[in-house]
Amino acid sequence: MGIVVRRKKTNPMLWIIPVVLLSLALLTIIIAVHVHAFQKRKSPEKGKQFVSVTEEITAKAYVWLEQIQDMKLSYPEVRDAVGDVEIQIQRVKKPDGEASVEVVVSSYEEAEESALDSLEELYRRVLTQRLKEAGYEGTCEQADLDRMMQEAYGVTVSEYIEQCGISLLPTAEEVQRRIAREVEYE
Amino acid sequence: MSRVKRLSAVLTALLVLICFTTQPFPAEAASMQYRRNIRVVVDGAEVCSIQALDDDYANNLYISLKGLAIALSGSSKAYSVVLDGNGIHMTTGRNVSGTPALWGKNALVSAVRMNLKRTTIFFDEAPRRYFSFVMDNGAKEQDAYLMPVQLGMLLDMKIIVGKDELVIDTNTPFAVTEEDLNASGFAQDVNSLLIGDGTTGEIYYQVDMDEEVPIASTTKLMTYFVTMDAVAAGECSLDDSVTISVGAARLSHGSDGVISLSAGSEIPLSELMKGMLLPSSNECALAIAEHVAGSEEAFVERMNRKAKELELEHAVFYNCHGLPVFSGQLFAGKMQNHMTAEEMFCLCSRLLETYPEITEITEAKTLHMSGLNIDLHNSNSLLYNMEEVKGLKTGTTNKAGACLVTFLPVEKDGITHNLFCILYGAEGEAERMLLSEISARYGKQCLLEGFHDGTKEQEWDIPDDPEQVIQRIIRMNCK
Repeated sequence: MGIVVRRKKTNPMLWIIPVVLLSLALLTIIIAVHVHAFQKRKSPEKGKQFVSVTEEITAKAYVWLEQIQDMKLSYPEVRDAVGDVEIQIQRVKKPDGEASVEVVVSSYEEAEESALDSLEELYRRVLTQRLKEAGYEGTCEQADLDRMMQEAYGVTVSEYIEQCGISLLPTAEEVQRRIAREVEYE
Repeated sequence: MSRVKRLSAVLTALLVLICFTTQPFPAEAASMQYRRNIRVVVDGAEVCSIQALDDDYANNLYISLKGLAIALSGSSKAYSVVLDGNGIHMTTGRNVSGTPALWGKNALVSAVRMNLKRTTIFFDEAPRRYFSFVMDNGAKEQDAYLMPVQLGMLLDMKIIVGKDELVIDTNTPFAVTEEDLNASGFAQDVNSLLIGDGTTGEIYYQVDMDEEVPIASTTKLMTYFVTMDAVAAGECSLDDSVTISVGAARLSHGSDGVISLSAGSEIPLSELMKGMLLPSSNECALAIAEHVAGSEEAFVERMNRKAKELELEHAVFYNCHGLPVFSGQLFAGKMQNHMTAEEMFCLCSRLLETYPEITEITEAKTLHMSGLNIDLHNSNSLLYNMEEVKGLKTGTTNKAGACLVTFLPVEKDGITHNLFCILYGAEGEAERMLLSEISARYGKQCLLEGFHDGTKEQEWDIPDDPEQVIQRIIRMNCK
């Protein structure tokens, strides 16, 4: 008489599921590592990449303001006024299949406007300080300073800042070159 | 000696005496006037021809006042003119009939020799001062000959000078454009010229404004500034009684003396200031300097320090009045106070911001100096031709030429702008007055109408340096 061995039938789901779970975990780890490696390009908004230009703006604004005698603003104060300014970049696939990084123009313009607004605010502060030191006893509200600038040069303070010729941001091409270099060294 | 010989000697001596006392020594050499007739076109229609003169050179044109009166008869700029012992009387709104006198053949091929004269023209009874020729017009009557631009300013009408004609538009007011100034070579032969708004710092026109030039008696503006600083600091008072030194008295009796002062006499500082600014008394300036600083040398040091404080890097002062000085070395050099027109513009801007009361003296045509009981007459004749002119200072030396710093406050949009015309090195008083009046009118026009060349809006010249922007705003808003 033979021994009949009955093999217990195993449920395939019992090994597929752990394998899948393990694979998913591994994938998550890989993605996490990838994300961590390129963290500075991550934004709270999922899928968009940004480059911070705060330091460039702060440095250029500070140097420009330093031309004014008795300018009492410190570098950290200027940075605080400038705030966090970022330029959005996007990866674009060319028809030949190659990928490149480009600056989002609208984002660049917004950053430029934000930088000029910050410089305008700083300039108003310095102008107010100088007027008070010179014995000016009137008010130095926005409208007052605009009136003074209008009388002296035919423009408002905002228009003066726009026309004064200072370039606070790196150019879009410079930003692209910077991103391209960073991609190269990844 | 025989009687005949004695008589001959006496007669010879008498003859020599007569020759020396009757020989004319004109103060300045008279020029030659070449006569011609020119056509006059009024409001598009050729009206007549009138007499004209070219003074020494072609196109240095003077036209007949009586002839022009006939040409303008019936227009909105009609006037009558009478010449008498007091001067020239022009009355607007009156038509003059007749035919203008013209130069005949002989007059056209010959010339006359006349001096340009400072003439008082009573324009609707208001006295104006212009340089003109007054001579027989060949019709046995006296006529006056003025430059077309002078008549344009007087009558406030547009005049264009053509080759042999005058084109007059009585419906267009007199105006100066930058294009006209450049095309005509305006002020190209002076040492320097600047027309600018001292309140905003804007310069409307300039010729060699950054060239160092001798400044003659316009020096006294700095003397006033330094003195008033001393008064403000409490070092002295305008009520102080100033004792006249031997040096000041000697200066007053020399060839550059203006007001006779006696050594040891006492005159209030405020009165000396009038004497310094109005008839440009050098001795008053010296007396002021000695009183304020103890000596002229010490005062001049203050002047140079003040110049440095105002960042007038080219300004150098050797004395308090502007006369030439000699170095006192073996090879004695003649030196004069100097600076640039641009620096004088800066100086005047600060002066009027700090001590606007200077115009209480400089705008007066005549002031009484109570200390000496004499009347002082302002050497600035431009005060007669433009009511809005409030000063500031004339200056004349051989090297500096005829100089004038003109100031007129101009109101625009509720703000008073201090307009300055700085002129150095005109050939004589006639040129000084003419250029200064044209400059003042041009500057006022630029400020009020906001354009330089008559065709486009004024472009604001915003400096690259943000500090300069702030400084101008502070100057305009802080006293």
